[in-house]
Parts: sequence; C-alpha cells; structure tokens
Amino acid sequence: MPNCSQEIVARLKQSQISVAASVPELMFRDVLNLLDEDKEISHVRLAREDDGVALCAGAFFGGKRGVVVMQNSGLLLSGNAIVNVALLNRAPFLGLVSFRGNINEKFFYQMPQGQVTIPFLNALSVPNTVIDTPDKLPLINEAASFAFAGHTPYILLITQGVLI
Amino acid sequence: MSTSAMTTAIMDEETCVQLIKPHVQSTDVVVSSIGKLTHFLYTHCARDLNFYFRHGMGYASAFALGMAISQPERRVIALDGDGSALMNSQSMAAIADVNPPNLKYVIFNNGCYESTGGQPLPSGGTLDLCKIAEGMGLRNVSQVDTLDEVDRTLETFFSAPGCALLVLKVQPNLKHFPLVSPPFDANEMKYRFLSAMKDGGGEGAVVESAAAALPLRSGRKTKGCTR
Repeated sequence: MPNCSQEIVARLKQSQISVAASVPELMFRDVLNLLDEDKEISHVRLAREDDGVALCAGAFFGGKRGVVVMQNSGLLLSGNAIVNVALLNRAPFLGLVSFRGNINEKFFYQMPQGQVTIPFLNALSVPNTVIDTPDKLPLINEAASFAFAGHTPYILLITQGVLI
Repeated sequence: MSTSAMTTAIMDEETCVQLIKPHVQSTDVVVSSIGKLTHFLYTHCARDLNFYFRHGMGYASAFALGMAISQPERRVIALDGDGSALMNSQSMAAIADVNPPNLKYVIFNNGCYESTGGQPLPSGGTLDLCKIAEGMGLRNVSQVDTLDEVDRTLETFFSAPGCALLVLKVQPNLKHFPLVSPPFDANEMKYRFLSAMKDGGGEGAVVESAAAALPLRSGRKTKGCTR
C-alpha cells in the first residue's frame, strides 16, 4: 500500500504530468525526494514560485504538462505570473500547494496567509479545491484533467495532516 | 546583415536583433521579453515559432527553460532585457541547475528601462549581469561591448553546443515610441505557435493543445509573418 507521497506522485504520472517545478516546503519533503528520483518527471528546483508558473507555461507550449509544488506563501507571490502568464496565455498547470494557516496549523505566523488563500484564488478566478483527508487524493487526477482540458491553472490546497 | 553594411549603425537592441536573425533556424523557438524586444523581434524576425511576451515582466527566462526541457531536440533562444533579467534573476540558478544544452539565453543590457522611457536600473550603472550569471552557476557566459565584435561572437555563441548566456552591452535608443505590438492577441499567438510546433515536428502532446486552442482562433493572417 503506497503512502500518501507515493500516491501523489503516482497520480501526477497517471495525469501525464512530466514536468515539476518546486520550492521546498516541509510537508512535501517526501514528494520532492520522489520527484527527484523519478525518471519520467523532469523536476526543476526553483528559488521562487512564480518562476514555476512561467516554467510550466513554457512546458505546456512545448507539449508537456507541468505541476508547481509550493507553499501557499509562494502561491500568493505568484499572482502576477498566474494572471499575466498563465491566464493571459491560457497556459494550464496544476498547483500542488500546502494550505498553511488552516486546520492543524501550529504556528501563529502562518495564520494570515491561511485566511486569504482561497479569497485570493477566487479573486483571480482560478479554480481550487481543498484536500484535507488522504481519501481525497484522487482529486489530483480530476484537477489535472480539468486544468489541461480547460487550459487553466487548477490549485489543490493540501492541509496539514494529510502528509505530515 | 553584416557589420560592414552597418557602419553607421549603433549597437542598440534593434541592430542586435537584426544581427541575431540570420542565426535563427526554422525549428528554433524564440522567446522575447516584454516591450522593445517583442517589438523588434516581431518587426525584424516575425515567425510563428516566436513566443512574444506582451506582459509578465521577468518571466521569459523561466518560460524558455520550461520550453527547453519539453523540447530537448529543439533549440530555444531567449531574448531578455536587463530589467527583466534582474527582476527574476534567480531563474538563472534554475537554468544553471538544469543546464539544458538547447537553451541560448541573450540579455540586452542597456542600463535602463527603455520601454518605459529610459529610467535607469538600480545599481547606479554598475550592474554586471555576467558576474550575476556566473555567481548563479551558469557556464559559458560572455559579453560583447562593441558592434565590431557582435557578428563573430554571435557565430560562436549559436554554433557552440551547450547552454550559454550572452550579454549584449547595447546603447539605449528612445526613438521607437509608440511600440508596435504583434497585431494578434494571446489566443491567436497560441494557435499560431502550437500549429507551427505541430507542423515542425513537435511532440505529440502539442496536437492536443493546438486542437483545444482552435475554437478561439480569429482567423486573421499577419502580413509578413512566416514560420
């Protein structure tokens, strides 16, 4: 029986995602290690999350599907790239985003971003869904299908406790 | 265009784009950053395999990296301004990490934000993009300062294998306002680009992408736009 990190990577591959861009987040530690080791996915380590949005746009125009793995702080940083690269050019990507500042959060300094993450995405008209239990991980396939059929970003917000 | 035919030319962005044009092969993807580089690329080297950034300052290099990864058999040329390169300069670290052999990254360093009227870049005129790039881990970094050197350097830059960065030290030239933007919107550029990728032997997934973009095509053809 695979663990949740293994299931996430398996579902990305089922969704024909072959390019991953990431900025480290503790929750995704095992996912990032698996992406590093995977032979079918090109994993690019980034210094800033908005570069991941642009990188996935380039990958899409090159015929590949991309995922950006990041914390919601990086999602907030990426607003310009989401609007002026991804939405403007209808360049889809899947966002695998930790939902810090939500349930199970232990650190006060994460709380402000937890409060604004969903309103931010809704203001940008970017479809999004919360994954707050492991049995919702099949939504990865659904979200990827939505994103790449509709040529839009789709953000999955994964709460604390699903992975660690 | 040879430098001998351009004895009165100054080393500005427009001249350098004209000098780059002969090096662009039919299967290359060329990515231009917002403002004057998109303007000059469209004016002097219009083709459907160009991806013109109209908005999203700072993202041309990361986009080009994603393209280079996805199309390893195809050369990708990124034309970036110094302001754009500085804005998201950390993308150089990612490029260095991946080191895609098919990516040629050109930065035009005029020391100012020319597209918005020539405001100087921060750093007091001391910005050294080669040092930044080398510090980020990029190999094959070079700079050209004079028009006499450009032709020979471009020949080496484009013919040598491997990922490389070339900084062109150009003079500001503020005579080009208002800028000419390619006369098609992002949806039509998408259709043109993905269709050209498909026709040019792009990988299979592009077909799906081009088909999905098809309903949004305006059907307009642009004069002088060749693949």
